[in-house]
Parts: sequence; C-alpha cells; structure tokens
Amino acid sequence: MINESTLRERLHSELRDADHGLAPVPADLERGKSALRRRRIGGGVAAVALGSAAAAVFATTIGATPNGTNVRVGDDQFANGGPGVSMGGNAGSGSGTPSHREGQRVPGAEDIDRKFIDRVYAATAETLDSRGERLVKEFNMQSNGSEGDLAARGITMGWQAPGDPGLGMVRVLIVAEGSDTSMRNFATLEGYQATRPMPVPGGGTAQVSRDRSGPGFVVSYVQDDGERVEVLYDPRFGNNADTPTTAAAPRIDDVLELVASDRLNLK
Amino acid sequence: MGTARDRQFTDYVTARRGQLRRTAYLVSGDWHLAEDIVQTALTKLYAVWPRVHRKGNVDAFVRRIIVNCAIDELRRPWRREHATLEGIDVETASGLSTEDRASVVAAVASLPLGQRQVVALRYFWDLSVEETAHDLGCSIGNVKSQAHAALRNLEATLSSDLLATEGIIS
Repeated sequence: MINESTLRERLHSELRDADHGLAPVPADLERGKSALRRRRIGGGVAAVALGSAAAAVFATTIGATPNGTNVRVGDDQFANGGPGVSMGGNAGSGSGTPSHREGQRVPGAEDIDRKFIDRVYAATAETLDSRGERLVKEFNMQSNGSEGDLAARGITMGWQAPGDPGLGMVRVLIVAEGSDTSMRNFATLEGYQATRPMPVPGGGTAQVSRDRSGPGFVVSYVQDDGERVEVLYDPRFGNNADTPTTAAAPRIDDVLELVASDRLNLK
Repeated sequence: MGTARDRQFTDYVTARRGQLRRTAYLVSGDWHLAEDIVQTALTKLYAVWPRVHRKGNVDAFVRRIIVNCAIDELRRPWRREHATLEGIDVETASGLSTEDRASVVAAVASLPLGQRQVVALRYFWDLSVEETAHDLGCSIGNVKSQAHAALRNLEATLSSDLLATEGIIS
C-alpha cells in the first residue's frame, strides 16, 4: 500500500518545482476591491428595487429583474407565489403534463447570468438526484435586486418520476448577506410546522420546516460567507401541474448537504 | 498602506497564494485554470474578509471555494471539448507515459475529480478525514472511500521503480 507520508512529501516537492507562477498580490487586492465597490454601488440600487417591490402587493408576480426593469409575468407560476420577487419562464404547460423544454429564459431579463442557472442546477442534480431520474431540467428563475448587486436569486426545477403524470418542484433560492428576502416572501407556507434545527455536513445548523399535510418542506441555512440558501420542495409545481408528483420527495439529508454546498453562491 | 482589511488580506495572500495555486492545480490539472480559480477565490475572499478573518477560518473558506470552483470550471462546455484525430487512438488517463509514471503529480492528474479533491485536501493540505469531509461538504465515509480508491489507483499507475526506490510504497 502507498505510504501516505511519502506521498505528501512527493506532492509538495514536485508541485514546488513545477510552479513558476508569480504571486501578483497587488492585482488580487485590486480585483477584490473592485468587486466590493461594484457590490456596494449595486446595493443602493437593490435597496430601491426592494422598496418598490415591497410596496407592490399584487395577486400576480411582479418584481425587479437584475437589470432593474420591472417585469410582469402574468399568473403566478408557482405554488403559493407572491410579490417581491420577479419570476419568469413558464415551466410547464399547465395541463399537468409538463413539457420538457430546456434552458428557458426569463422574459425581459436576457442579461441574467446563465452560468448561475447551470451551476445551481448541476449542484442540485448531483446532490438530490445523483441517478438522474427525478430532477427535470426546466426551470423558472427568481431574482430580486439589480445587476450590480442582487439581493436574491434562485431557480425552480421540476421533480417527477419516469412516466409520472404529475410534477413537483424543487426551488433553490440564494439570498445576499443582510437581505431579508426569503422564501416566505413568495411562498405563504401556510400549514407548515415551526422550524426546527437540523445539522448540516460540516457542523452548521439549518432550519427545517415541514408541511403538516404533505411531504413538502423548506430548509434554510446561512453559509460561511453570509449568504443564505433556502430550498423548498413541493410535490405540486404550482399552477404548472394539476397533479402532484408520485415521486418520493428528495431525502432531507441530501437537501441538508445541498444547502451547505459552496457551489451555491449568489454570483 | 490602505485599510486594516487591505493589509491583512495582502499578508494572507502573500503567505498563501502559492499553496492555493498548487492546490488548484492538483485538482484541475491545468496551471492556467488553476490561476483562474485562485483569482476567483481571492476576489470572493476579499469581499467577506472581515467576517471570515474574525472567525479564523480563512484557509478553510478559500480551500472550499477552490476545490468546488474546480468542479464548475471543469464542467463548463468548452472545458469538456477534446480535439480528436480520426483513426488515431486517444491516450487514456491510465496510459501515462514513462516519464509521467515517475511523477506523483501526473499520476494524481489521471485520477477522477473526486479523488483528486480528496488527495489535494488529505495529502497536500494534510487535513484529517473529518476536515476533508467538511471542506467537501460530504460524509466521512465518502472521503475514506475516495482516499482508498485514490491510493489504489496511484499504486497501479506509478511505475514500480518509483514506488520501490522512493519508498512510496510501504
């Protein structure tokens, strides 16, 4: 068997010899400062957008897109949808038999970072559905804030078993540090139990609330960098499906692993 | 010079940048990609420096970004593209050249991504199994199985001469 101690020494010596890279510390500092400046400038704009959104209590969904433009996307496409967060991209036909379109864009929000969607989808798929049998790559997107600094951003994905006539949903929302945007801003979560703490891998603690009358749940966790990750599972995908999915809900342990994932970042 | 944040950040980067870059290389197998990953990680670090520094877990914060950032980078479509020549066999990861069979780092590069992450954290950062699991956000059992598989694969990949003469095998 390989000697672990010798392996460590070899790795250090070979990498030290092979690495001829410079250490441009001033450039690192400048990049960090620039990013922070952009974040702070954007924060002011985001606060204005949030204020406007909070004042607008509509039956339909309305909010601020990352480019600061308000968009109206019609009837609520989510279970328990509400104001304050823009949502877009019709995730299903509304007939209970979902279409499987991939990579839909949010109307009026062409500048939304596609990489964010891909990253969140990949992390969710690998954690909750490693066998690739449940998570449906069609999504709606939610965002709150402005291009410079988003207060929150998330996507909603389908959840169903092969041949399943129904459709459930998994929503992942990432909220900036200090923002009070929450899943509760756009999901009433009526009938959910009070939250209770559950440990996440690595020692942190998430807050978990379950639906009293079904398999739905919402998990919330503040990551080390201050961003809060919330994951909602609902067996029925809002107005996009009349029929709840027959698939088993994601395992709560997997969801606890997902909310702690460092791949879930606002940017 | 600048604020306390700038000074502390600069001190940290000066001390750690090389180690971080080599970690990124060990996971990604590409020096250019490693540089991109480190720059991304340090930019994120600066934004949250006061809190992360206060909690005393700067290394852990950056390590997590690096090992996970590598996954995102390597899965980008343009990273997955491989040019091939029709009719010519493409060298597989297990088919290392004689020269590479004498290099532990080259052998690590031939491992699957999950095993490379574990090797980087367990054997380059010298983290415990528990710390590695925390960084990767996975179970301790998963780390153990990945480490075992990595060592088994390295033993099969490295040349017998190297294993014997360098004392890598016990």
